[in-house]
Amino acid sequence: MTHCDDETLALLALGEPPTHPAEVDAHLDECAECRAALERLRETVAVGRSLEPDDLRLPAPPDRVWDRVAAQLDIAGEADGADVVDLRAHSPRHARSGLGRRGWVAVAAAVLLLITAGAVVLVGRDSNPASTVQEVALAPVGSGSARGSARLVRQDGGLAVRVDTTGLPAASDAYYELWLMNPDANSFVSLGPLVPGTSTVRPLPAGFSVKRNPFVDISVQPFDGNPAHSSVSALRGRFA
Amino acid sequence: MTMTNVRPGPRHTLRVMPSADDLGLRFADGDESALRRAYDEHGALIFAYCRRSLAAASDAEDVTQHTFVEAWRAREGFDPERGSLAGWLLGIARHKVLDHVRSSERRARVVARVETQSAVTAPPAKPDAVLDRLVVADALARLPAEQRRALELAFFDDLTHPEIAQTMALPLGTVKSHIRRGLARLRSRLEEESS
Repeated sequence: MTHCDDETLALLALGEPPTHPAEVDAHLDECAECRAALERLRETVAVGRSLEPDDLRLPAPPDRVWDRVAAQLDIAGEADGADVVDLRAHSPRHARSGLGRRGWVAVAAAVLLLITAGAVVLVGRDSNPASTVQEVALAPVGSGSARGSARLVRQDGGLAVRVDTTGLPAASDAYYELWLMNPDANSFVSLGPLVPGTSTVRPLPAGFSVKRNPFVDISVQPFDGNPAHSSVSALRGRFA
Repeated sequence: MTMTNVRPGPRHTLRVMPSADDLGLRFADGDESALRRAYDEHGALIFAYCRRSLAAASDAEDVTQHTFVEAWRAREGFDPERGSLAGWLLGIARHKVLDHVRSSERRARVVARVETQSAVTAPPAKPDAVLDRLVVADALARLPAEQRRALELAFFDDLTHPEIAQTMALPLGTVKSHIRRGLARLRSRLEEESS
């Protein structure tokens, strides 16, 4: 007799009788090939029958997982429903800019030059490598001996920026503020004040795009009650 | 034009065949939008596998992330002719999970040695049984609707072929064909996983 056809094997695997049981039995007794094929189908059926409702409805991973994939690979594309949070629209900073757009474009161009000159260093070492998405060096804007590093870290299920600085001079009439900005230097998001010599960790709003706002900027802010960027920057770096 | 032109012809069957699909090709070619699609399409499967193989949800997120990052970086090694994208992603995830479990065990042993001067036996992970179920569930979900329904009735409601034919109001021959094809598809996904 010829080999069992696939429909017969499927019936047997599911525990149903084939059309001609005696012939099939006789063939299986002498054909290792058909026995092996049947065994493989039986295993498949066993796994299929062991499935539970949870197996059939798999939840998607949280959007932040994609955000980290995109950030790590430096590619565009936001998770569904998440987009850049434009905080400027809700803040008085929107209205004022010390340098104006053209000035900032020039500043950004200078920053780009600085960075191409090799200011960005990827540091692969960390006591907990899984938590750091990437790390960049912060270089002084203009002259100065201050240095720093900014890390994009995963924290409490979201992303955060951690900044460490050395050599930032203390001032009595001003404070330092941490910002992320876009390459056009027309979108700034404040991550709050920064105290020199300490580690500053600021969580990022969910859906915030580091890809679109890759520049880390530490500004010198006078105590004048104006929440806008002062246009005076001490340190800068750029996330990849 | 006659009415017969309206009936789904062989093309319907062709679409059902597992093949090196467009997404896999675009992925291998380095089309960034294909990575996003692959994530939308297979992220839940990878994440579920990681969730079930690792105790901490945050670890599962990490390993899911690292799986897609590595898949993208190593995309030139993916051959759509030789296997499914899902299978390839799962293969990477499986290695990542095993690495993760091993390094956690190492850490646990180090900690245990420091604390009690004795080795600790970490609970054994059995990722492969988890994998089999998820692969079959995933393959089942991707079957054409009638094939899937026929198999679900056979698996979960323990219906025989004739009962399935009656329930679905289909000819017995059609049901046999659906079940044969569906089972073959599930089996090939399983075998792809264990190879």
